[in-house]
Amino acid sequence: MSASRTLFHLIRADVLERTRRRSFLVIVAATLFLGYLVVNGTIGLHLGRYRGVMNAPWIGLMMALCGTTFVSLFGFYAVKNAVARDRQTGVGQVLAGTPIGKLPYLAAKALSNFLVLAVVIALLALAAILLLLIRREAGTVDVRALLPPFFFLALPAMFFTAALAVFFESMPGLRGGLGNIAFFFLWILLLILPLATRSLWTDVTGVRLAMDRLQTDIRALAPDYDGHFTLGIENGAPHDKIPLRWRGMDWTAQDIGWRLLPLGWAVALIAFAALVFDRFDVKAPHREKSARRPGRRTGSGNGLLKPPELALRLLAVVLDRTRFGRMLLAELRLMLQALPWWWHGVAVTLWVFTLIEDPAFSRAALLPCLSLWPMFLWSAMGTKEIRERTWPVLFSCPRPVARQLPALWTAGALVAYAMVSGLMVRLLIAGDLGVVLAIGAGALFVPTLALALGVWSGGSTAFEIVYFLAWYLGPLQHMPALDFMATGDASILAGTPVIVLLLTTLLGLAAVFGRLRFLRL
Amino acid sequence: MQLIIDHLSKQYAREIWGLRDVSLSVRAGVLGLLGPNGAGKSTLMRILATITRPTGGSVSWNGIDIVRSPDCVRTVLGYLPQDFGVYPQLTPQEFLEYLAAAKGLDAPTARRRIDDLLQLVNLDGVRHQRLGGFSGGMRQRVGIAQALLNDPRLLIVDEPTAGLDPEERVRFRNLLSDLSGERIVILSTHIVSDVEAVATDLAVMVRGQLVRQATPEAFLQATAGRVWEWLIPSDELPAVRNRFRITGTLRKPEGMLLRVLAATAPGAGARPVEPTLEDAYLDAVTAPTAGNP
Repeated sequence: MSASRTLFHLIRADVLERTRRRSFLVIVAATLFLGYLVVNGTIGLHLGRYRGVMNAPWIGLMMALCGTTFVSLFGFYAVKNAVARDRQTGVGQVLAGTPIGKLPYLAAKALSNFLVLAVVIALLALAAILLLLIRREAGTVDVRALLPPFFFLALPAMFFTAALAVFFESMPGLRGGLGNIAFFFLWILLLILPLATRSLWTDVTGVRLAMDRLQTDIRALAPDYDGHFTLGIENGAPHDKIPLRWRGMDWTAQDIGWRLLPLGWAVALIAFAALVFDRFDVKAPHREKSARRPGRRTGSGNGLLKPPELALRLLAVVLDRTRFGRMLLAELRLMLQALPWWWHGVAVTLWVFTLIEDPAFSRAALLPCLSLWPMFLWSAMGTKEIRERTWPVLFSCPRPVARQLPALWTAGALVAYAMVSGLMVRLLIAGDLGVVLAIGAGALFVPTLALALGVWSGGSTAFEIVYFLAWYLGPLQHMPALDFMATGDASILAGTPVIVLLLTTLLGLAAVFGRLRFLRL
Repeated sequence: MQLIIDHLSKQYAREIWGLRDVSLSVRAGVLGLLGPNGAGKSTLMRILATITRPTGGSVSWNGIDIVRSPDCVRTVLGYLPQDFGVYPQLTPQEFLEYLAAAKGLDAPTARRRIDDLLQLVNLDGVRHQRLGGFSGGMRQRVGIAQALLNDPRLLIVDEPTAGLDPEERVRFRNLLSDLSGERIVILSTHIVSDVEAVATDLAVMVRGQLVRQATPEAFLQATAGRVWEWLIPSDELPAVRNRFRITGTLRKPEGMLLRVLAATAPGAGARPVEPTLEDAYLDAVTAPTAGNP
């Protein structure tokens, strides 16, 4: 079989496997939601006193920049499971026994990642066409003027993201939670660095290039333009702003050359990943000899002992059918035990800061961090039983819905409350009971969302994408309707905590219904 | 103590049945559930373990319908599924403590029981090492330990010897035999030797249906007089294979020595022999479709 045919089948199988999973629908839904936020004007491109007239080039650029910025964030988490899935299902070990090399394998995974992300960008392009149809202020529905930013800005950024996901999956220290957290900071760095250094060498998202060209064009149209450039949520009604008719970027060979640069970085990442990739080599299992420490009673032979008297002793096993505490402790321990020491260290540090810092600062700046830090802990809720295949045993235990599920939910909520407890104490002392209640509602909402999405999707990706998007727009960008943690007063005034509580109730019911449905299959 | 399976069915899609009209009555002892891959053994096990709901029929434990009241059997159930998973970051001790809490064992009983079981499955010395580094056989032993945590009255073990070495398999069979006195043990396998020594009752399933339930002795009796040893030239094997049900072949200097299932002598020189349980099983499995001469 030729190398290209091998590559094709690796990519095909991977794309089919992904797109047939329920979590892919969540990716599509998150993309459509992002497109909707742009269409309704919540997210946009802001130029200070000025704004672009809604024509094909402006809408195309705006939507493509949203894609390159936000999809590179949640898209990374959405696709960073291609190698992990092969590892988990055992397919990886089968592939490792074939002549497929590490480089072709990882290249296939990167290309498969890219195809998934390209679908997301294509959906955003469709949303841009829709936006052009319903909110066009000038020009014609010129798709040729609308699409170039998607090709030259968004797709190279997606290719880079796809390769970066494979790179993270290949590095032993970056596969798990640490890698997920590290990527978030890397994502911020990749956005800030080209803006701070004014260099295009690190401009993988293309925002710097687009900004440079746009600022030059706008200055030509409005000499007093101060260079303001924001992509995201900005207060101020659009009709207060002066419309400028931007005619789009002239994509020169040099511009296209700069946009090919992320592809080069991506290839380098894949090549480096191939050098360190373990090719599904498993860790050496514990030797049986290690089971026999001197002086310990461990039996005379390998493996199972001949049943001694204890096997026949019918222990008077006392079943504790009603108490919930032991199950809760067990779930809490399971949740926290897998986390490394530094995770606890950062959590405690953040918590201490909320105790000693000004509550207003803590609420605006630290609360978003506190509500993000345990994200990967919450995202395992309702999914770890499926992922680790412990569910047949666990769900055949007494009262799996009445005891295990509430215990799991309570453990997640306790973690959320522990994270925000320092701030809540400070706010209580300051007499801000309303804010305390609003934050309390948010702390109930997050684990409930995780549990419901985990139970229904069977994986952690759905929660990670939905939560990241909501967290970015809400607690981080302080968009009142999505600020479920009440990081600003605007969300309380908008009645968001009430909606959050209502949603929490519905999601809780959905989780219970989902688990019952699973048990009835 | 009685488990009654009455006209049990599981239909996945219009023409796809996992189980079809299976009826069984099980009393204390070891029931060996035999059948080829895809026979519906695991589906039946999962229904008995209350993690899959049937689409027809009923299962009752001491007279109580376990589909309507699953907790009546869950409190006395030990279940080792075919595809048993563990949390790799936990140690065997922690994992068993977690499942003891899920099964509702109180803390002192759980501690005592885990100590005993870790010794029983010879994992006492690695009780503080993470499960992620365990071999398949060691994980399987953790699975055996968790199934025995609550001293189950109903023990369901699905392909339990997968991953165990031959010595472990023998010891596990002995363990099941010793445990079976006051409880029902249902042992699903497609390896006849796994049930040969320990089963007090056998049930054979094929394509989602129960084809025979009887004691091992009755199975042997039913096949008695229908097993033949027959030496043939090697080049005749393909033709003979097409005409008869062959349960074993052995190459000899003179040709191929076959074990053949047939009502009458399959050919000149064939001599009747005592059936083994393997012959009886293959007789039951192949009977519905094979053209038995």
